[in-house]
Amino acid sequence: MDTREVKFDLRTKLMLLLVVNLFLLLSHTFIFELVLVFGCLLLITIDGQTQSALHFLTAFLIMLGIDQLGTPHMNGFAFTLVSFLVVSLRKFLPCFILGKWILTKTEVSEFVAVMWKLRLPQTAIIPLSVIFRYFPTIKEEWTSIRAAMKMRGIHVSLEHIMVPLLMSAVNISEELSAAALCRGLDNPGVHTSLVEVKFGYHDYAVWVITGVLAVSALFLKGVGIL
Amino acid sequence: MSNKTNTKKSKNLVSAGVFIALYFVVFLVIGCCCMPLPPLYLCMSSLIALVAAPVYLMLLNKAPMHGPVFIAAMLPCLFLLLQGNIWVVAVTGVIAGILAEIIAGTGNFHNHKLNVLSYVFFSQNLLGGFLPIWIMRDYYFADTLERGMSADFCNTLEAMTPIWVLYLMIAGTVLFALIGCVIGKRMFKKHFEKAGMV
Repeated sequence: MDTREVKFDLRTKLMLLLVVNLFLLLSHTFIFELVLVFGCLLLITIDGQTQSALHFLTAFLIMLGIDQLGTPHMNGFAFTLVSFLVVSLRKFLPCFILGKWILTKTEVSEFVAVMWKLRLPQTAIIPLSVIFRYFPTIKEEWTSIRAAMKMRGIHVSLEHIMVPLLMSAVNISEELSAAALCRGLDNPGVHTSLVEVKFGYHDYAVWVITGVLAVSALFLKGVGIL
Repeated sequence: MSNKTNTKKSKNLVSAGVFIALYFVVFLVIGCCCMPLPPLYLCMSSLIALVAAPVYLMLLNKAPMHGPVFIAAMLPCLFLLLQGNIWVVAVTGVIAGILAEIIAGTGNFHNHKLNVLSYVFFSQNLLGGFLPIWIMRDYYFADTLERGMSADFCNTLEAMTPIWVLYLMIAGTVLFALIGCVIGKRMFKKHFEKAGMV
Protein backbone atom coordinates (compact mmCIF):
# COMPACT_ATOMS: atom_id res chain seq x y z
CA MET A 1 0.00 0.00 0.00
CA ASP A 2 1.25 3.47 -0.82
CA THR A 3 1.92 5.15 2.51
CA ARG A 4 0.61 8.50 1.32
CA GLU A 5 -2.83 7.01 0.89
CA VAL A 6 -3.18 6.44 4.62
CA LYS A 7 -5.49 9.02 6.12
CA PHE A 8 -6.51 9.01 9.74
CA ASP A 9 -9.93 9.97 10.98
CA LEU A 10 -10.08 13.22 12.95
CA ARG A 11 -11.79 11.41 15.81
CA THR A 12 -8.77 9.12 16.09
CA LYS A 13 -6.48 12.12 16.24
CA LEU A 14 -8.55 13.86 18.90
CA MET A 15 -8.75 10.67 20.94
CA LEU A 16 -4.95 10.33 20.70
CA LEU A 17 -4.46 13.91 21.87
CA LEU A 18 -6.66 13.30 24.90
CA VAL A 19 -5.19 9.91 25.78
CA VAL A 20 -1.59 11.04 25.35
CA ASN A 21 -2.34 13.90 27.72
CA LEU A 22 -3.70 11.51 30.31
CA PHE A 23 -0.62 9.33 29.81
CA LEU A 24 1.64 12.31 30.40
CA LEU A 25 -0.15 13.06 33.65
CA LEU A 26 -0.14 9.41 34.67
CA SER A 27 3.56 8.85 34.60
CA HIS A 28 6.77 10.81 34.36
CA THR A 29 9.18 7.93 33.75
CA PHE A 30 11.73 8.39 31.02
CA ILE A 31 11.06 5.12 29.17
CA PHE A 32 7.37 5.92 28.96
CA GLU A 33 8.20 9.35 27.56
CA LEU A 34 10.39 7.75 24.88
CA VAL A 35 7.57 5.36 23.91
CA LEU A 36 5.11 8.24 23.56
CA VAL A 37 7.43 10.50 21.58
CA PHE A 38 8.47 7.78 19.16
CA GLY A 39 4.91 6.50 18.83
CA CYS A 40 3.72 9.96 17.81
CA LEU A 41 6.66 10.43 15.45
CA LEU A 42 5.90 7.08 13.81
CA LEU A 43 2.27 8.10 13.32
CA ILE A 44 3.04 11.37 11.57
CA THR A 45 5.65 9.61 9.43
CA ILE A 46 2.99 7.14 8.30
CA ASP A 47 0.80 10.11 7.45
CA GLY A 48 3.54 11.41 5.13
CA GLN A 49 5.02 14.13 7.31
CA THR A 50 8.57 12.76 7.37
CA GLN A 51 10.21 16.18 7.38
CA SER A 52 8.21 17.48 10.29
CA ALA A 53 8.94 14.24 12.17
CA LEU A 54 12.68 14.77 11.62
CA HIS A 55 12.44 18.33 12.93
CA PHE A 56 10.67 17.15 16.06
CA LEU A 57 13.22 14.37 16.57
CA THR A 58 16.13 16.83 16.37
CA ALA A 59 14.40 19.21 18.75
CA PHE A 60 13.76 16.37 21.19
CA LEU A 61 17.40 15.23 21.11
CA ILE A 62 18.73 18.76 21.57
CA MET A 63 16.43 19.41 24.52
CA LEU A 64 17.36 16.08 26.05
CA GLY A 65 21.04 16.92 25.60
CA ILE A 66 20.72 20.33 27.27
CA ASP A 67 18.88 18.79 30.18
CA GLN A 68 21.19 15.80 30.67
CA LEU A 69 24.56 17.48 30.07
CA GLY A 70 23.85 20.94 31.42
CA THR A 71 22.04 20.34 34.69
CA PRO A 72 24.94 18.96 36.76
CA HIS A 73 27.40 21.67 35.70
CA MET A 74 25.44 24.86 35.56
CA ASN A 75 23.20 26.86 37.80
CA GLY A 76 22.12 30.43 38.24
CA PHE A 77 19.10 32.39 37.15
CA ALA A 78 19.61 32.33 33.38
CA PHE A 79 20.09 28.61 33.31
CA THR A 80 17.03 28.05 35.50
CA LEU A 81 14.99 29.89 32.92
CA VAL A 82 16.45 27.91 30.02
CA SER A 83 16.07 24.55 31.74
CA PHE A 84 12.51 25.40 32.75
CA LEU A 85 11.61 26.09 29.12
CA VAL A 86 13.48 23.05 27.82
CA VAL A 87 12.04 20.59 30.31
CA SER A 88 8.45 21.78 30.12
CA LEU A 89 8.56 21.82 26.32
CA ARG A 90 10.05 18.35 26.23
CA LYS A 91 7.50 16.91 28.65
CA PHE A 92 4.68 18.00 26.40
CA LEU A 93 6.38 17.32 23.09
CA PRO A 94 3.99 14.46 22.21
CA CYS A 95 1.08 16.88 22.56
CA PHE A 96 2.81 19.43 20.38
CA ILE A 97 3.49 16.81 17.72
CA LEU A 98 -0.15 15.70 17.70
CA GLY A 99 -1.41 19.28 17.88
CA LYS A 100 0.63 20.35 14.87
CA TRP A 101 -0.48 17.23 13.03
CA ILE A 102 -4.13 18.01 13.64
CA LEU A 103 -3.75 21.66 12.68
CA THR A 104 -1.84 21.05 9.45
CA LYS A 105 -3.53 17.93 8.17
CA THR A 106 -7.19 18.65 8.92
CA GLU A 107 -9.38 20.56 6.52
CA VAL A 108 -12.02 22.78 8.06
CA SER A 109 -14.71 20.86 6.18
CA GLU A 110 -13.58 17.61 7.76
CA PHE A 111 -13.58 19.26 11.18
CA VAL A 112 -17.15 20.48 10.67
CA ALA A 113 -18.30 17.11 9.35
CA VAL A 114 -16.91 15.35 12.42
CA MET A 115 -18.63 17.81 14.75
CA TRP A 116 -21.96 17.23 13.00
CA LYS A 117 -21.41 13.54 13.40
CA LEU A 118 -20.67 13.96 17.09
CA ARG A 119 -24.06 15.74 17.36
CA LEU A 120 -22.76 18.92 18.94
CA PRO A 121 -25.28 21.80 19.00
CA GLN A 122 -25.03 24.35 16.22
CA THR A 123 -24.21 27.07 18.77
CA ALA A 124 -20.97 25.24 19.42
CA ILE A 125 -20.16 23.99 15.91
CA ILE A 126 -20.13 27.32 14.09
CA PRO A 127 -17.90 29.30 16.49
CA LEU A 128 -15.49 26.38 16.90
CA SER A 129 -15.04 25.88 13.17
CA VAL A 130 -14.55 29.62 12.67
CA ILE A 131 -11.92 29.65 15.43
CA PHE A 132 -10.17 26.76 13.70
CA ARG A 133 -10.21 28.62 10.40
CA TYR A 134 -9.28 32.04 11.83
CA PHE A 135 -5.97 31.33 13.61
CA PRO A 136 -3.78 31.45 10.48
CA THR A 137 -5.57 34.64 9.44
CA ILE A 138 -4.69 36.36 12.72
CA LYS A 139 -1.05 35.64 12.03
CA GLU A 140 -1.30 37.12 8.55
CA GLU A 141 -3.11 40.20 9.85
CA TRP A 142 -0.51 40.61 12.56
CA THR A 143 2.33 40.58 10.01
CA SER A 144 0.62 43.22 7.88
CA ILE A 145 -0.18 45.39 10.90
CA ARG A 146 3.44 45.24 12.05
CA ALA A 147 4.63 46.10 8.53
CA ALA A 148 2.26 49.07 8.35
CA MET A 149 3.37 50.28 11.79
CA LYS A 150 7.04 50.07 10.83
CA MET A 151 6.46 51.90 7.58
CA ARG A 152 4.81 54.82 9.38
CA GLY A 153 7.17 54.73 12.36
CA ILE A 154 4.51 53.97 14.98
CA HIS A 155 5.62 52.50 18.30
CA VAL A 156 4.05 49.44 19.85
CA SER A 157 1.20 50.20 22.23
CA LEU A 158 -2.02 48.55 23.27
CA GLU A 159 -4.15 50.91 21.21
CA HIS A 160 -2.01 50.68 18.09
CA ILE A 161 -2.28 46.91 18.09
CA MET A 162 -5.80 46.25 19.35
CA VAL A 163 -7.61 48.79 17.19
CA PRO A 164 -6.38 47.51 13.81
CA LEU A 165 -6.75 43.91 14.97
CA LEU A 166 -10.35 44.48 16.04
CA MET A 167 -11.11 46.46 12.88
CA SER A 168 -9.85 43.65 10.68
CA ALA A 169 -11.65 41.11 12.86
CA VAL A 170 -14.97 42.91 12.38
CA ASN A 171 -14.46 43.07 8.62
CA ILE A 172 -13.37 39.47 8.35
CA SER A 173 -16.28 38.25 10.47
CA GLU A 174 -18.70 40.01 8.12
CA GLU A 175 -17.05 38.55 5.04
CA LEU A 176 -16.91 35.09 6.57
CA SER A 177 -20.57 35.11 7.55
CA ALA A 178 -21.58 36.33 4.08
CA ALA A 179 -19.57 33.51 2.52
CA ALA A 180 -21.01 30.96 4.94
CA LEU A 181 -24.60 32.11 4.35
CA CYS A 182 -24.08 31.77 0.59
CA ARG A 183 -23.24 28.15 1.24
CA GLY A 184 -26.41 27.63 3.21
CA LEU A 185 -25.13 27.72 6.76
CA ASP A 186 -28.54 28.91 7.97
CA ASN A 187 -30.37 25.97 6.47
CA PRO A 188 -32.43 24.59 9.36
CA GLY A 189 -32.39 21.01 8.03
CA VAL A 190 -29.72 18.36 8.19
CA HIS A 191 -26.54 19.46 6.43
CA THR A 192 -24.85 17.26 3.87
CA SER A 193 -21.12 17.03 3.49
CA LEU A 194 -18.71 16.17 0.71
CA VAL A 195 -16.24 14.80 3.21
CA GLU A 196 -17.16 11.34 4.38
CA VAL A 197 -16.32 10.64 7.98
CA LYS A 198 -15.51 6.99 8.29
CA PHE A 199 -13.12 4.77 10.21
CA GLY A 200 -10.52 2.86 8.18
CA TYR A 201 -8.49 -0.20 9.14
CA HIS A 202 -5.58 1.92 10.35
CA ASP A 203 -7.97 3.87 12.59
CA TYR A 204 -9.10 0.67 14.25
CA ALA A 205 -5.46 -0.39 14.56
CA VAL A 206 -4.54 2.86 16.32
CA TRP A 207 -7.52 2.53 18.69
CA VAL A 208 -6.58 -1.04 19.58
CA ILE A 209 -2.89 -0.23 20.10
CA THR A 210 -3.76 2.77 22.27
CA GLY A 211 -6.16 0.63 24.27
CA VAL A 212 -3.53 -2.06 24.86
CA LEU A 213 -1.00 0.60 25.82
CA ALA A 214 -3.45 2.19 28.24
CA VAL A 215 -4.32 -1.09 29.91
CA SER A 216 -0.69 -2.13 30.26
CA ALA A 217 0.30 1.32 31.53
CA LEU A 218 -2.44 1.20 34.16
CA PHE A 219 -1.43 -2.33 35.09
CA LEU A 220 2.26 -1.41 35.43
CA LYS A 221 1.28 1.64 37.45
CA GLY A 222 -0.81 -0.55 39.72
CA VAL A 223 2.06 -2.97 40.23
CA GLY A 224 4.28 0.00 40.94
CA ILE A 225 6.88 -0.36 38.21
CA LEU A 226 6.01 2.71 36.17
CA MET B 1 -37.62 28.66 13.89
CA SER B 2 -38.17 31.02 11.01
CA ASN B 3 -35.42 31.25 8.46
CA LYS B 4 -34.71 34.91 9.15
CA THR B 5 -33.87 34.47 12.82
CA ASN B 6 -31.78 31.47 11.88
CA THR B 7 -29.79 33.58 9.41
CA LYS B 8 -29.19 36.20 12.07
CA LYS B 9 -28.16 33.56 14.55
CA SER B 10 -25.68 31.98 12.15
CA LYS B 11 -24.22 35.39 11.38
CA ASN B 12 -23.75 36.16 15.05
CA LEU B 13 -22.16 32.79 15.65
CA VAL B 14 -19.59 33.36 12.90
CA SER B 15 -18.65 36.74 14.42
CA ALA B 16 -18.49 35.11 17.83
CA GLY B 17 -15.98 32.57 16.51
CA VAL B 18 -13.71 35.31 15.22
CA PHE B 19 -13.67 37.22 18.52
CA ILE B 20 -13.27 34.09 20.63
CA ALA B 21 -10.22 33.23 18.52
CA LEU B 22 -8.87 36.72 19.11
CA TYR B 23 -9.43 36.37 22.86
CA PHE B 24 -7.67 33.02 22.82
CA VAL B 25 -4.66 34.51 21.03
CA VAL B 26 -4.45 37.32 23.62
CA PHE B 27 -4.50 34.65 26.31
CA LEU B 28 -1.79 32.61 24.57
CA VAL B 29 0.56 35.53 23.96
CA ILE B 30 0.31 36.93 27.50
CA GLY B 31 0.41 33.44 28.99
CA CYS B 32 3.62 32.54 27.15
CA CYS B 33 5.27 35.80 28.26
CA CYS B 34 4.26 35.34 31.91
CA MET B 35 4.79 31.63 32.47
CA PRO B 36 8.51 31.35 33.25
CA LEU B 37 8.80 34.11 35.90
CA PRO B 38 7.04 33.61 39.26
CA PRO B 39 6.10 37.28 39.91
CA LEU B 40 4.75 37.70 36.39
CA TYR B 41 3.05 34.32 36.59
CA LEU B 42 0.86 35.61 39.40
CA CYS B 43 -0.01 38.75 37.40
CA MET B 44 -1.12 36.69 34.38
CA SER B 45 -4.88 36.79 34.90
CA SER B 46 -4.86 40.53 35.67
CA LEU B 47 -2.86 41.32 32.55
CA ILE B 48 -5.15 39.21 30.40
CA ALA B 49 -8.17 40.93 31.97
CA LEU B 50 -6.69 44.29 31.03
CA VAL B 51 -5.84 43.51 27.42
CA ALA B 52 -8.81 41.32 26.49
CA ALA B 53 -11.51 43.79 27.64
CA PRO B 54 -12.02 45.46 24.22
CA VAL B 55 -12.23 42.04 22.60
CA TYR B 56 -14.87 40.92 25.09
CA LEU B 57 -16.96 44.07 24.66
CA MET B 58 -16.75 43.64 20.90
CA LEU B 59 -17.81 40.00 21.25
CA LEU B 60 -20.92 40.98 23.23
CA ASN B 61 -21.64 43.75 20.76
CA LYS B 62 -21.37 41.58 17.66
CA ALA B 63 -22.85 38.37 19.06
CA PRO B 64 -25.52 39.30 21.62
CA MET B 65 -26.66 35.77 22.48
CA HIS B 66 -26.13 32.92 24.90
CA GLY B 67 -23.34 30.45 24.17
CA PRO B 68 -20.30 32.30 22.84
CA VAL B 69 -19.39 33.82 26.22
CA PHE B 70 -19.36 30.38 27.78
CA ILE B 71 -17.18 28.97 24.98
CA ALA B 72 -14.80 31.92 25.32
CA ALA B 73 -14.47 31.32 29.06
CA MET B 74 -13.96 27.58 28.68
CA LEU B 75 -11.49 27.49 25.80
CA PRO B 76 -8.38 28.75 27.68
CA CYS B 77 -9.31 26.54 30.63
CA LEU B 78 -9.52 23.46 28.44
CA PHE B 79 -6.18 24.42 26.93
CA LEU B 80 -4.63 24.69 30.40
CA LEU B 81 -6.18 21.36 31.29
CA LEU B 82 -4.53 19.78 28.25
CA GLN B 83 -1.27 21.35 29.34
CA GLY B 84 -1.48 19.33 32.52
CA ASN B 85 -3.07 21.77 34.96
CA ILE B 86 -5.09 20.43 37.88
CA TRP B 87 -8.82 19.93 37.15
CA VAL B 88 -9.87 22.91 39.31
CA VAL B 89 -9.21 25.16 36.33
CA ALA B 90 -12.13 23.65 34.42
CA VAL B 91 -14.50 24.17 37.36
CA THR B 92 -13.75 27.88 37.71
CA GLY B 93 -13.99 28.19 33.93
CA VAL B 94 -17.52 26.77 33.96
CA ILE B 95 -18.62 28.91 36.92
CA ALA B 96 -17.15 32.12 35.50
CA GLY B 97 -18.62 31.40 32.07
CA ILE B 98 -22.14 30.71 33.36
CA LEU B 99 -22.17 33.73 35.71
CA ALA B 100 -20.94 36.01 32.92
CA GLU B 101 -23.65 34.62 30.60
CA ILE B 102 -26.44 35.19 33.13
CA ILE B 103 -25.35 38.71 34.07
CA ALA B 104 -24.87 39.88 30.49
CA GLY B 105 -28.09 38.08 29.54
CA THR B 106 -30.24 40.00 32.05
CA GLY B 107 -29.31 43.20 30.21
CA ASN B 108 -29.91 41.54 26.84
CA PHE B 109 -26.17 41.95 26.14
CA HIS B 110 -26.70 45.66 25.39
CA ASN B 111 -26.56 47.16 28.86
CA HIS B 112 -23.02 48.51 29.19
CA LYS B 113 -22.92 48.43 33.01
CA LEU B 114 -24.09 44.83 33.17
CA ASN B 115 -21.63 43.89 30.42
CA VAL B 116 -18.78 45.34 32.45
CA LEU B 117 -19.98 43.46 35.53
CA SER B 118 -20.17 40.25 33.51
CA TYR B 119 -16.63 40.85 32.27
CA VAL B 120 -15.44 41.13 35.87
CA PHE B 121 -16.84 37.65 36.55
CA PHE B 122 -15.72 36.34 33.17
CA SER B 123 -12.10 37.33 33.77
CA GLN B 124 -11.95 35.13 36.87
CA ASN B 125 -12.05 32.09 34.58
CA LEU B 126 -8.31 31.49 34.88
CA LEU B 127 -8.38 31.64 38.67
CA GLY B 128 -8.58 27.85 38.80
CA GLY B 129 -5.06 27.63 37.42
CA PHE B 130 -3.80 29.40 40.55
CA LEU B 131 -6.28 28.32 43.20
CA PRO B 132 -4.51 24.97 43.90
CA ILE B 133 -1.47 26.94 45.09
CA TRP B 134 -3.53 27.68 48.21
CA ILE B 135 -6.27 25.10 48.56
CA MET B 136 -4.10 22.07 47.68
CA ARG B 137 -0.73 23.51 48.61
CA ASP B 138 1.34 20.35 49.17
CA TYR B 139 -0.07 18.49 46.21
CA TYR B 140 0.39 21.48 43.94
CA PHE B 141 4.07 21.93 44.64
CA ALA B 142 4.84 18.22 44.42
CA ASP B 143 2.96 18.10 41.11
CA THR B 144 4.65 21.21 39.71
CA LEU B 145 8.06 19.85 40.61
CA GLU B 146 7.28 16.54 38.99
CA ARG B 147 6.00 18.23 35.84
CA GLY B 148 9.51 19.48 35.25
CA MET B 149 9.48 22.98 36.71
CA SER B 150 12.78 23.68 38.45
CA ALA B 151 13.05 23.52 42.22
CA ASP B 152 14.05 27.19 42.15
CA PHE B 153 10.75 28.13 40.51
CA CYS B 154 8.79 26.19 43.13
CA ASN B 155 10.71 27.65 46.07
CA THR B 156 10.32 31.20 44.81
CA LEU B 157 6.64 30.62 44.16
CA GLU B 158 6.13 29.09 47.58
CA ALA B 159 7.89 31.96 49.32
CA MET B 160 5.88 34.50 47.35
CA THR B 161 2.44 33.14 48.07
CA PRO B 162 1.04 33.71 51.54
CA ILE B 163 -2.76 33.56 51.57
CA TRP B 164 -3.29 37.32 51.16
CA VAL B 165 -1.73 37.08 47.70
CA LEU B 166 -4.81 35.14 46.59
CA TYR B 167 -7.12 37.97 47.66
CA LEU B 168 -4.77 40.45 46.07
CA MET B 169 -4.88 38.46 42.84
CA ILE B 170 -8.68 38.38 42.73
CA ALA B 171 -8.88 42.07 43.59
CA GLY B 172 -6.19 42.84 41.02
CA THR B 173 -8.05 40.95 38.32
CA VAL B 174 -11.29 42.80 39.15
CA LEU B 175 -9.52 46.15 39.12
CA PHE B 176 -7.70 45.48 35.86
CA ALA B 177 -10.89 44.16 34.27
CA LEU B 178 -12.60 47.45 35.17
CA ILE B 179 -9.69 49.53 33.86
CA GLY B 180 -9.68 47.41 30.71
CA CYS B 181 -13.38 48.11 30.20
CA VAL B 182 -12.82 51.86 30.61
CA ILE B 183 -10.03 51.73 28.03
CA GLY B 184 -12.20 49.57 25.79
CA LYS B 185 -15.11 52.00 26.03
CA ARG B 186 -12.79 54.87 25.10
CA MET B 187 -11.39 52.89 22.21
CA PHE B 188 -14.94 52.26 21.00
CA LYS B 189 -15.81 55.97 21.21
CA LYS B 190 -12.62 57.10 19.54
CA HIS B 191 -12.42 54.57 16.72
CA PHE B 192 -15.25 52.15 16.18
CA GLU B 193 -18.30 54.34 16.71
CA LYS B 194 -16.79 56.93 14.38
CA ALA B 195 -16.24 54.24 11.77
CA GLY B 196 -19.82 53.08 12.26
CA MET B 197 -18.83 49.58 13.25
CA VAL B 198 -20.57 49.36 16.61
